[in-house]
Amino acid sequence: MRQLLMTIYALFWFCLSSVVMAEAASSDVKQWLARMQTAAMEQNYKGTFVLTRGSMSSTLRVVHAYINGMEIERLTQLDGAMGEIIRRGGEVMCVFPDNRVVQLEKDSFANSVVQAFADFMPDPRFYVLTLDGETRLVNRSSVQVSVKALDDHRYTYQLWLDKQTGLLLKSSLQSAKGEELERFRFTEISFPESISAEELQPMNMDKAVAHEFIPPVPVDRSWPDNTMWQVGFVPPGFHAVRDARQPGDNVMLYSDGLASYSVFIERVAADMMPEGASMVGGTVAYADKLENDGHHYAVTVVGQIPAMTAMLVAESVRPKVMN
Amino acid sequence: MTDNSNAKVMDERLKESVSALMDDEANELELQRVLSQADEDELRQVWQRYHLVRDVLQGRENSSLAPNEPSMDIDVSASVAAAIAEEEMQAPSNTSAGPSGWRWFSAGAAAASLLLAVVFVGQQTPIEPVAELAHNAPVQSEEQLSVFRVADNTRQPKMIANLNDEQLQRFNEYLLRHAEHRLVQPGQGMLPLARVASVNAVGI
Repeated sequence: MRQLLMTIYALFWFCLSSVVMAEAASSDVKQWLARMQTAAMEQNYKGTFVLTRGSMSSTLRVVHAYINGMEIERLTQLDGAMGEIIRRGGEVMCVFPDNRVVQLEKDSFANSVVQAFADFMPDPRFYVLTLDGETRLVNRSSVQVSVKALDDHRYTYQLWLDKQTGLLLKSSLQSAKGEELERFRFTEISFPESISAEELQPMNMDKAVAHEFIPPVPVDRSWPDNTMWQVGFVPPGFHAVRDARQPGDNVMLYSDGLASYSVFIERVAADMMPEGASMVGGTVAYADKLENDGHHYAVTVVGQIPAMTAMLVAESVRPKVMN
Repeated sequence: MTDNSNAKVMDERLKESVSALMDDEANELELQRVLSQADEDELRQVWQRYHLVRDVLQGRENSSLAPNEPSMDIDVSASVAAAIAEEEMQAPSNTSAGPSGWRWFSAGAAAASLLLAVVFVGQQTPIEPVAELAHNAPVQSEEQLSVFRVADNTRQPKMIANLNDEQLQRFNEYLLRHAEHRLVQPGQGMLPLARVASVNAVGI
């Protein structure tokens, strides 16, 4: 009897300590992920990285600075034709090889969302977070973090973070079957104290031949005032970061803390958009047709989620008449 | 007749020796053979011809061929020279492009004129069968945590075989917009935009 009690007691402690240890590990990982988020924004860094998706890979150079609370970033393609993407805060500008500059017209994307999102973490109910030890990468010490998907609505991530700064040095995106969809890896990186303005200037800006703006996805005012778009299916663990709040709102963003997808709903000509999925590495674009009230609409889901999930999301979009 | 064929054999061996001499691979015996016949006209011609071929191969303008000598290996040298010329057309791109321009890229500019020439189509990795997912998955609340691995549905997303320019452009705009959206989610740094940029690089 006494022996039995001892055994139960021992078992109890064993279980308790494993739970505590697992929680400790998970909270360590969360701290690392938080550091990764901060570092990606607030560190000055420049380096070269390779992004591999399926059989394709491309080399890019990045210069990233954090000046007066604003991120300035310059991405230069090193393979093929030279193109650049410049970002200043939330403004994105693409400089194309034929000297065209294309800029996204500012979307009314609330800054409050950014704040609310800052602490968003992958939910342990949908990802298993583990710390997988340390390795040396690009001549720096790094910690390996594994974020394993628990269902098929998201992908698994392996992340290697710089031990000193927390910056993401390498990552691997894997499907549920363990197939690598996308690999990102710095081949050289430095963290300079300061970064000069010239280093953040796009090449040949003075030779720009055209400056075009991509307008935001136009809000369709032809709907009755009391009609709203509703996305019926939200995969478990995903939350609306940007929701349709008013009638006519037609761009939504969802995230589970790591993965995210956008939903675009646009009125189009009958045969303008195709139906089905198109994929590049871990990024899917799934287009679906929707007809309502004699109008044709295209619903497009774009993000780092499996095609099946994108399809389920796209097909669940319905107009709803509010009373 | 016999003499003639002997002479031919000698000729071939001599040519080999000359070749070896040029390549610094001649042994003493070959060297002596060449030197002993160095006054023969034919040997001089072979010597010059070999130098011509070497010079052309190495891209030298002034070959050692005397101007009055007819070019013998005209077929080879002409095609080699053409290949070299072609290479020279392409090679100086890094020097002539410089800060002054994109001239060298003019051929690709047409292709790039399509806004964000992302090629979604054509580089599709075959979609993995995600059949484990439940079809018609009901809207799940957070509390219902049934794990999505059910293989009770075989319906799979259809892959788009072809996108026309307009559709491609629309997809690319969405991709860029989504990347922009991603910027509000800190953490992956340059990755969202890198996805756009890298796809673009491949697409052009």
